[in-house]
Amino acid sequence: MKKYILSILICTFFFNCKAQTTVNINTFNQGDNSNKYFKDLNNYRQKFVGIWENTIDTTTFRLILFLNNEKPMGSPIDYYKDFIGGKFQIIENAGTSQEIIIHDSVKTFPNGITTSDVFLGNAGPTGLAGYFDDTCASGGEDVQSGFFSLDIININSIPLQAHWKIKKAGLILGRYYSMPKDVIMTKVN
Amino acid sequence: MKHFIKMAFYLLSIISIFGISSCERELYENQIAEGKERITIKTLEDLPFLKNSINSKISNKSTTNKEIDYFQLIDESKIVVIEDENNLKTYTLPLKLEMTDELINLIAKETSDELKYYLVKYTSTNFDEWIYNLRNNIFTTIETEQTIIDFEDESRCFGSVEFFLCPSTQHFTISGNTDGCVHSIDKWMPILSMSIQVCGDNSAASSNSGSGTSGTPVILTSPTPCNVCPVNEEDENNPCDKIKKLKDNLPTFNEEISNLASRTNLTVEDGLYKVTNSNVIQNPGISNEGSVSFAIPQGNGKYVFMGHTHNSPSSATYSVPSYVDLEGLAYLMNLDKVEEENFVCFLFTADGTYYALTFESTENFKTFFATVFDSNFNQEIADKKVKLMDEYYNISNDINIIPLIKENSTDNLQDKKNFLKLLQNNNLGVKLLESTDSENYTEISYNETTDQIISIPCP
Repeated sequence: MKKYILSILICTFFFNCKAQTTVNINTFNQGDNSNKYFKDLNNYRQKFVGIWENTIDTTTFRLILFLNNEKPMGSPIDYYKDFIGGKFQIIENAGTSQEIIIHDSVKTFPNGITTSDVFLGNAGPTGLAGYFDDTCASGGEDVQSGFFSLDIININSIPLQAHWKIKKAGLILGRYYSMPKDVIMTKVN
Repeated sequence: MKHFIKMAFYLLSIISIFGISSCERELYENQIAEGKERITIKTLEDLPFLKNSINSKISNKSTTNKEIDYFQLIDESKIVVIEDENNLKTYTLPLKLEMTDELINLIAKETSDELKYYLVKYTSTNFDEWIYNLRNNIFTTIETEQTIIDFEDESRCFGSVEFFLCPSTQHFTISGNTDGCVHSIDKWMPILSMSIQVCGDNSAASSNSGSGTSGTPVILTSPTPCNVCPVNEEDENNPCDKIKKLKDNLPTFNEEISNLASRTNLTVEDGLYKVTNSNVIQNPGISNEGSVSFAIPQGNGKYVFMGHTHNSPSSATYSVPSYVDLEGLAYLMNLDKVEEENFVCFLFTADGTYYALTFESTENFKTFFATVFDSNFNQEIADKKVKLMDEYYNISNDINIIPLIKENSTDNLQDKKNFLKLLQNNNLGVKLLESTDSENYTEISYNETTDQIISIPCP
């Protein structure tokens, strides 16, 4: 019986494994991307990982960024790539006893799907940019995608500060993002 | 007995693993009609084994140059798949050839172990009238003469032709009536196809009324008119007709769309639109960023058409629809705010490109761009979308990515080819038309194999 189980395991491995080559992320789209892992070999992402905040009056925009390593891309999977993932919150009276979370990108939708990571970012030496799904758009009744950039403005200082921008509005009037469009963020953790 | 059970368990396990590993969900399948035969429309991408077979034919040294020419002319976007009661499939592969008195298709017939290829030529002097009638929803018939050439062995008996009297997309019209047609006449489309029974294949012999003679080419003449049924309910939404309807129904359309096309030299975008619950063509708002912003129509209103510009300078604007354009359109469609059947979206850019988008199927488009809020959201498709949008538009803004479609490029031809690849290879159901004067349009597609743009001018 053991040899049958062993055979099954070997077959499982045989049918599921695909040769994968790890390459520098800066070689993406240079030739065939298939079966490659585009890795952040320069570790550009690390400085962006953490909690960033901007507070205007009583409203705080909190951005929580994390590593999204070896994210499978495509369906079926074509290649893997390192990204920055993230989530955000819009908070009233943050840090006080009256703190209320107005918007949280992590939410469960009527179809039962719960979002966790709504950012797809690529990091350079001093900047991060990418795509996002604002799951709280238009007052929380919409999901609107867009493009963002987060450019560090004081690279050798503590705490780090960065210029946050949402680069492009949508085609449709009446849709709006829950996140601010153009603010300075401070890395708080 | 114990040994037998072990072996059975062993084999079953292997088969199960193989099945799980190789199973891929087939996306975007459009089953069109239920009947004696199942008729579906596929793209070549949907049929990998057929694509491999064709590629292998092209690279096979024994394939003649003339055959290769035909294989390279296949319209990959619209392949008619006819599955008979015995689950045998015949693939009609339309060729991108200008139709004169001759309409030529490649036919691939599935046998137990391979695909057999035939060239079918339909000859008629009435194709123009037939197509005109179909496009204008006029009941029509056509009488054709068919020539069938067996690609692989011209001296071999090629078998007989099913339903040769009426080459029809639905094969319900042997007797010349349309009782079997599933769809109304306004949905009929000008495609001819047939099932071919190869020699030695007796699986469909009972239904055959063909000649069964040997030698090729064999000419079979239809003695009765053939009524051509539709393949796809939405396919007969001819893109050219949609633009024509706008011109016919809106007196100021030509003038206003022409004016819009002339405003690409501005430093902000501009636009036009018409909704169903208003009689006039209107201008949308412009956002602070200089982008056009279309409102969500009030009440039951839906967009009949919309047009906008990508403003100057040409070195900083997309020469084709942007990701934001596509996502915005899908958003409106998912809200049911677009009159999908006749909708046209115009785009005029500072690069000097004039395009019109129409939709032969909106379901795939809507699903592709659906957000987690939408009932048609599919995580698998969403993952595919993000990957493709990154490759084509660099939505992740990776400084290392050279996207296939570039905002700062003035290589309009390359952008056009890549945009067509995006539409065609992912079965988004979008038809692209281009113009040089904003008034006269040409439907375009891209043949990756020959690297050629195929143009079919609107009548």
